[in-house]
Amino acid sequence: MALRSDAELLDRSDRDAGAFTEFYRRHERALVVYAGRTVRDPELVVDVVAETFARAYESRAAFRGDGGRSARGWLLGIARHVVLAAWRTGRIQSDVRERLGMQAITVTDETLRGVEHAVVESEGAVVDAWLADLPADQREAIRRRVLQDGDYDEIARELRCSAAVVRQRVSRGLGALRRAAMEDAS
Amino acid sequence: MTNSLIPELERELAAMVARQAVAPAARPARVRRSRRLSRRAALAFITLLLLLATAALAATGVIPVGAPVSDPPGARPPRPNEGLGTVVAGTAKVLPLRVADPDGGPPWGLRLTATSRGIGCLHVGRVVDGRLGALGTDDAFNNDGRFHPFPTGMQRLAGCAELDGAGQLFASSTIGALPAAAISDGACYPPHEITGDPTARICPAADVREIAFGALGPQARSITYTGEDGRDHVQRTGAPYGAFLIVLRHDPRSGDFGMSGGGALSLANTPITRVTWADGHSCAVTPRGFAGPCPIPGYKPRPVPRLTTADVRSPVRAHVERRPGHGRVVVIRFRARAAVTDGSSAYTITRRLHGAHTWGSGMTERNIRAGEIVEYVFYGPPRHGVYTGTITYTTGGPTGYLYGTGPQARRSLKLVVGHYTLRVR
Repeated sequence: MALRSDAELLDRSDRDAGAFTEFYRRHERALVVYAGRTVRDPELVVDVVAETFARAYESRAAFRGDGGRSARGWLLGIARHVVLAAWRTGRIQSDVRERLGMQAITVTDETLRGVEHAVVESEGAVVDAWLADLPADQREAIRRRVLQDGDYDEIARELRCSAAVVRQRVSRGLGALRRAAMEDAS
Repeated sequence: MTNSLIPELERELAAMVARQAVAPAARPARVRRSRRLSRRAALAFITLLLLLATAALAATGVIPVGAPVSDPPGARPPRPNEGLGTVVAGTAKVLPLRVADPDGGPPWGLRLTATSRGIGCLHVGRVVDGRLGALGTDDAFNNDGRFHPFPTGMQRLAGCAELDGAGQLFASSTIGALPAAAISDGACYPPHEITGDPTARICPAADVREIAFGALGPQARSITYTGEDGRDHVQRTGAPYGAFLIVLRHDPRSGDFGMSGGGALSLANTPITRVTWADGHSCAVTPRGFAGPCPIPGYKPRPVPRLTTADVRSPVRAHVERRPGHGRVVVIRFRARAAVTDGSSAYTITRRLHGAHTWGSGMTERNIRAGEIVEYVFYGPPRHGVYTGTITYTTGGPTGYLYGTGPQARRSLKLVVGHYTLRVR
């Protein structure tokens, strides 16, 4: 069966619950990862994702999938608005969910762990790309000291060198990353 | 098809769609493009009329004044010993700097305040009769066309930072997209902000502003920035605070809608390309902030207290209890041996679930007496497992999420108070 476009799925949603479910599954992970990087708490992530998809459903007529365009950017824009509004008001809005008569959901610990794992997995990929250009010794020192909050003496024991050498590798590695960032900016 | 991450949400969405299918009245009507355009055109026309009327009234010196801006429902009133604190009487000053709006009307300006917790804030708004406020346009205040003054204690739309050792403010902030009314509460949304709410009112693109503002200290002389025309413009900074204010039409390609800067002096995300000081030296600025090291003349760091770990060490206790309206919560208790007397210090509390990759943290954003028993609550039901955490006394680094620390963060002091372990069954 040919893959249906986002526009087609949204268009069929009012008469085919499976179409909106397919749309949800297609974009759920991206929204979870985005929300996870901004609000951090897994329970709040679920809240943001729920309100985002509720808004997407209610305003589905506004999505223009001309030329097979993906709804991913449109959904992330909605999520961004939900998060920004939460910063302003101190809570995740649920107006649209209430309008649509959605019930409050209770998620299991297993679901929360899955959400957390999805966010961390994506962050790991970003950090790996960021550190990839460093020499291996600097990369390892930064990963253990900066990302895992390790103690210098403990890292020195694990890497079989002195704490002074670890400090030097961290300093050089951070200096290289800083220079690379400034070169990117210029 | 892969399993979903949140099956509970997938089921509820499917149930909602099924309910909607048997309730056709809930379906949103398709909006015909021509109808949407004419509504936008009407909104643009009404806004233009109001702006012209406001400009005309301002030109004659007559602009009706409405009620002062009020806090949103449920907002907590500021307290002198918490968060930003309360504005110290007599410190509120509308600065002489004025910047014209691209569409005319009352100019934009800045107001400086100092708070009871040693924090300085710069607010941005439109100026009428020497007062800072917002206009009843862009759907704000139901488009009443009046000027609504900002109360002295208002804490929104402000860039705040810890005052330096001489009580001076060094800070900068940007607002990516603000309606020309100078307020976002109740106003229309910038056109590229995707709300997902079909009832949201969208501003005409030309009616949204990009704002950069700040204070560079008494020895600043001018800033150079890139204007809407793509050319360099020089603005003399306002003495004695070195204040600057840039108001441009919002560029929708920037994708920037929020407020950034947090008050800390970085000049990131501004159109500024250079800062020049009274002694003639200047520093280049990029979109990421200062291009290189840039000592800020006139900045006086606050002294760092002479404390050691032995001065703050204290046992830490943690337990789970049930609180009305909140269910089960985690409560952390410790004795704060070092006092917190203003916004320059705080205690931070971390919480990490063994086996989890993320962790939570909090900060005591209030004054604390030496020897006081401090209680910090992590809301949200705790999960089963073992939690560990650390209490740290911090001074000299970022101690508040609402404000920054100035251009040259003085040596940051972090002293561990203690650790805790909590098993939740």
